[in-house]
Amino acid sequence: MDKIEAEIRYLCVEANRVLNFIRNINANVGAVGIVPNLSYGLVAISPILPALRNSAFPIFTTKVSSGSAHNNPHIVGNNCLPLELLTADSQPSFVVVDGTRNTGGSGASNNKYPDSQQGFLNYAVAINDVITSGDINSFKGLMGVSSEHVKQLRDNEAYASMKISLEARFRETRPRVPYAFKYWNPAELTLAIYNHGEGCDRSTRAVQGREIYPEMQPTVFFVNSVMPNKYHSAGHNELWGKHEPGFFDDDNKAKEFAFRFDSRGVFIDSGLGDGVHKIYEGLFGGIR
Amino acid sequence: MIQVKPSVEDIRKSLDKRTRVTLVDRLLNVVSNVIEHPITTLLPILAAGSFTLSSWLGVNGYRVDHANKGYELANTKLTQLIESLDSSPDFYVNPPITPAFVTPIVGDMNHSLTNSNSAAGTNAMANIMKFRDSLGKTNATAQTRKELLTLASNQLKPLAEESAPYILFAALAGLVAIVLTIGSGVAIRETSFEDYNRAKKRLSRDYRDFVKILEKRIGEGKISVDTIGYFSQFFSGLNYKKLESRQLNEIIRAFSKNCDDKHSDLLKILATDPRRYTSASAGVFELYDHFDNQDRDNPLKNSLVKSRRDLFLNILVTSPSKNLGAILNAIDLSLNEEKNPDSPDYLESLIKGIREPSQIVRAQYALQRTAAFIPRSVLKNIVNHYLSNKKSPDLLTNDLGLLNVYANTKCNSGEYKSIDELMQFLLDINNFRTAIPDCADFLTSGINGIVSRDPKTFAAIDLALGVFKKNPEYAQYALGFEGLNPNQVKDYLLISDSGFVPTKYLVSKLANSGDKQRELEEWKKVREEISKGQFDPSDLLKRDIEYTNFCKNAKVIGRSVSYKEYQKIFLGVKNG
Repeated sequence: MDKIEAEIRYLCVEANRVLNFIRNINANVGAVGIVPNLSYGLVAISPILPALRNSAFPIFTTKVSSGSAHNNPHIVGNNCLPLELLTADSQPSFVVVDGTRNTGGSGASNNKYPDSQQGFLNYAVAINDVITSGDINSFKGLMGVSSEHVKQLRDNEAYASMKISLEARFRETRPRVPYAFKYWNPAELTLAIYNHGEGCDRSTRAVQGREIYPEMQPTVFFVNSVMPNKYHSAGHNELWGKHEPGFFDDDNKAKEFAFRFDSRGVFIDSGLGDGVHKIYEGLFGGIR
Repeated sequence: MIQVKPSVEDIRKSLDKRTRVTLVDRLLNVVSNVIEHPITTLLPILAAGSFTLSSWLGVNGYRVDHANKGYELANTKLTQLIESLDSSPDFYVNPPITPAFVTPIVGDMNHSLTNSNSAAGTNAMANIMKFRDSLGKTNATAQTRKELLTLASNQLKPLAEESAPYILFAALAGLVAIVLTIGSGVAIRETSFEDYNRAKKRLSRDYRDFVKILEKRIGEGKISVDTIGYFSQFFSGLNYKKLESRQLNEIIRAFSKNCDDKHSDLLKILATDPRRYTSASAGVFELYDHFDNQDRDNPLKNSLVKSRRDLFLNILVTSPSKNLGAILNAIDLSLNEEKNPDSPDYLESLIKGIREPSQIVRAQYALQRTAAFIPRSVLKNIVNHYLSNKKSPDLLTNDLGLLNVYANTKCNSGEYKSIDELMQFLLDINNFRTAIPDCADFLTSGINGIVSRDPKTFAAIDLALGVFKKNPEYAQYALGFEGLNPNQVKDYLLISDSGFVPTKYLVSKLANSGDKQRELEEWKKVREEISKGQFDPSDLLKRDIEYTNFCKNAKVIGRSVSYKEYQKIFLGVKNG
């Protein structure tokens, strides 16, 4: 078996765990919007795309670049969550999927969530800032951010501009409950984050059990789908060889995105093509 | 009530502790240098350790060597004794023992034991003493005596033959110490140690100089009690926790330089709220002098204010801004009647606190840009509105390219009846550009023909602005729509407001529909059907409704959102 195929198999195992996590939320909380963050996020869910589309999960591709998020605690993702899913009666949770090859490295600094998490966090802060009419105290605990950080964001041009756009969007239908922000990864490790923001103190422990579906609490779950080699099964290691975490993180072929269509309309798929769906089907059965 | 006169002591109380280099500072300096240069600081410590080790080994080596010589002598004498006793077996039964018999041996051993108290030596000594003190004349006693001496001899022999390796190690350690000492010297010469207290030392020196100057001025009667009071009030009110040494130093130097009654009106303002001027205090004096000099060289005529210096003090009091550069520019710009005929309005806006100095500067630059395309009369209205209404939106600050031409045309068209409407229009353009980067590229890229004030292009911008106000994300697509008649524009907006990216097919379908609202509701149902798995690419309506989904995804991956590009997905699919 060549390296690419072996890594696609590992990708399928990780994607399967992500799918179970999404289904867990869906079964206990309700509506979930899936947000693969380009480019790795789409590669990460590519094995489960047919399953997700078949179950009618809304998938919203977005791009918050980790590169521009390095050492920038004030980066704000540009319209990076599917707010069209929000109605006057319901606020879905969101599962943002991303990944990095810096998962399961030798040192603590190599075990982290992708830096893009800060862009999603700050965008969620902007949403909360608008829907609570600026009442920081009502959401800072839910997100692990400080008042100082929110105030600094408010001085940021991109954030201010995002708020104008959100104000316009929520003019007629304004959600009521501020969003929480949590972290998860399939190995359930406590991974590091690089950009906290001044005075911020949030736990990056992977949410577990009841934490995943607190009552009436819409949440943005930030997922790093990558698993270090030692968290994959020894049997798979023996059959497929050693796994390189986030193998497709910088793979150009995987990022040659293509538009396809199926019975649910037009969608965008990773460059790994249809083969990845077949491998997933071989490992975990048909579209489940 | 007794009034206590402010004195230099009050200032000392505020500054003395904050400027002193304490023992902790000095220790931290050493620690920081050790951390910074570990090898350079480790070498002398290792050299000192090696010297100590060498000395210790040397002293011990000498003592052991000395002791061993004593054991050697004792062993020689003991061997002679054994030999003489061995010459006749009777000697062991009835030996001629007297204390003098073993005294020379015991003397040598005592000497050795004093220098090197070895266990073997002590045991040998004990056996010799047992031999000396043994009584009885039986064969058994004789045998015991013989054994005691043999045992003592065996114990002494290795001691006597032992050389002292200490001397060798002492020499080696000494050599290492010399090498390390030389190495330390070189390392110390080559290393530039940092004085982390340099800033504080300078601060301390400047503070003392400041106090001396102050005392001298007081002695000469050149400074009033009021001024000293302002100094005292200022320094006791500073927020020292937020001040770096460098900043405090700048403030102290500035105060040293301006330690006179001439600046007492400025000092009075600074003393009222020292925390506000913490970071700006040093430059305040320079600005004060700058405006004071300008007043002397160029007295103001026909101005709302008679003195720039007073205006400056006035702004310091009324404006919360600490941006001295902006204050400088704002005053210069506002008083420059030659370049700026509206200067009295700026000045009034500044004095009344309607506009901040930084806003005045921004507005000046913004208006310089817009002056090229907005008629003078309109511009004057805009300026007046801006300067007299605190809530008026900020003026256009971007280089807007096509949008400038567009704005010019709109400003001249008389379409906006009130200045409020016009200001809102300009604000919308500003937000439009900021919120939609792609749109900004389109508008500033200098597309061929845009400067020709092509009405079709302007109509597209009109449309995009209309969409933007309700649905910012969809505004971008509207820029591609040119040549729509007013009814089609209405249909376009209806489609966009319903959450669909309009296509030519959709606009035309809605135009031909008898009941537009019902038609749009139908489309929403079709969208639902698609999400439930009933997408049919050969159905044109379904296909164009799905275009919205394509646009969102294409935008994210940086692909073209053109309809032509969208069609490529369905190559080979026949239209129904």
